[in-house]
Amino acid sequence: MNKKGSTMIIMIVFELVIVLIVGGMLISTAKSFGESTTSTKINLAQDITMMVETLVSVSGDAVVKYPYEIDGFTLVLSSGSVFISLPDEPKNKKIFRNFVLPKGFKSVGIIENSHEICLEKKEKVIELRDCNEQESTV
Amino acid sequence: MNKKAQFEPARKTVFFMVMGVVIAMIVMVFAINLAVYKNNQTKLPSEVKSEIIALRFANSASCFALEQEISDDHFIVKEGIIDVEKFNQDRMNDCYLLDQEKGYKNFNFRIVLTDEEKELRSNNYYNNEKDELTIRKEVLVQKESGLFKDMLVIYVQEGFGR
Repeated sequence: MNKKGSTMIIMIVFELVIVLIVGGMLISTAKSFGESTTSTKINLAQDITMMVETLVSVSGDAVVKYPYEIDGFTLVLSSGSVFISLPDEPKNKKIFRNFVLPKGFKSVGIIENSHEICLEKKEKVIELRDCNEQESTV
Repeated sequence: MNKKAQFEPARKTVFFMVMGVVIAMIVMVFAINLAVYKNNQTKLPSEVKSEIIALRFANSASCFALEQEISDDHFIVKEGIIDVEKFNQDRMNDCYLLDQEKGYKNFNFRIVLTDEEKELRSNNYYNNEKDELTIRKEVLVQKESGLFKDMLVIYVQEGFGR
């Protein structure tokens, strides 16, 4: 094979490698995006925030069941914010949303790997907890 | 070496430079598309969010809703009835107080009791900024002289940099 022919083959191989690398990068990014739980975590955080804000506007005591199953997630409700993460997830992957409570109100609760969750308002305390049997059947 | 063979390496270099730019652009467009898609998936209309927050103004005893004593230490809250005695700036700050420095990122409200001609603002409401939307609620107002029909108008400023 002459010199020109071997150079051509090397160039074609080089081009193919570049195409494969770029294609692989795009596919792996799309795949990791498809498998990502970020959107689920954002939606969950927004839902919990709206539920807390709605409970604040309820005059008496109330219990609300979150209508979806949330297996695998860790939820932390503190006064003024909710944090959503997966177990052993780095801090920068946690999703949080803030909300504003009227003076005197408190929101508390930690949920780890629960199936069904409920938010309960008792006077001025909003608690995030596992649903009991009676609430689960509703 | 003939003339065509002399230009071959230069042509390849130009080709790879152009391809490098094209590939970088494809990757960027792809990443932007993914980010936009993700934002659309999780986007909530600001009307829904602000309406939910604004529920408290007329419904919560911690805000402006009327509380009536039914027996010793037992009160009932009259949702939708505004206690005119409570309708002041201190109560507004108790009801919806934002962080002074970062509160501009949240929803801010200016609430007006039309017939009473009273107006309250949340602590990060900007006078020179345009209101994003307006919520109107028919309410009753409890005054010493009795119960009167009124209109509670809630002007909403959506947070900047949200």
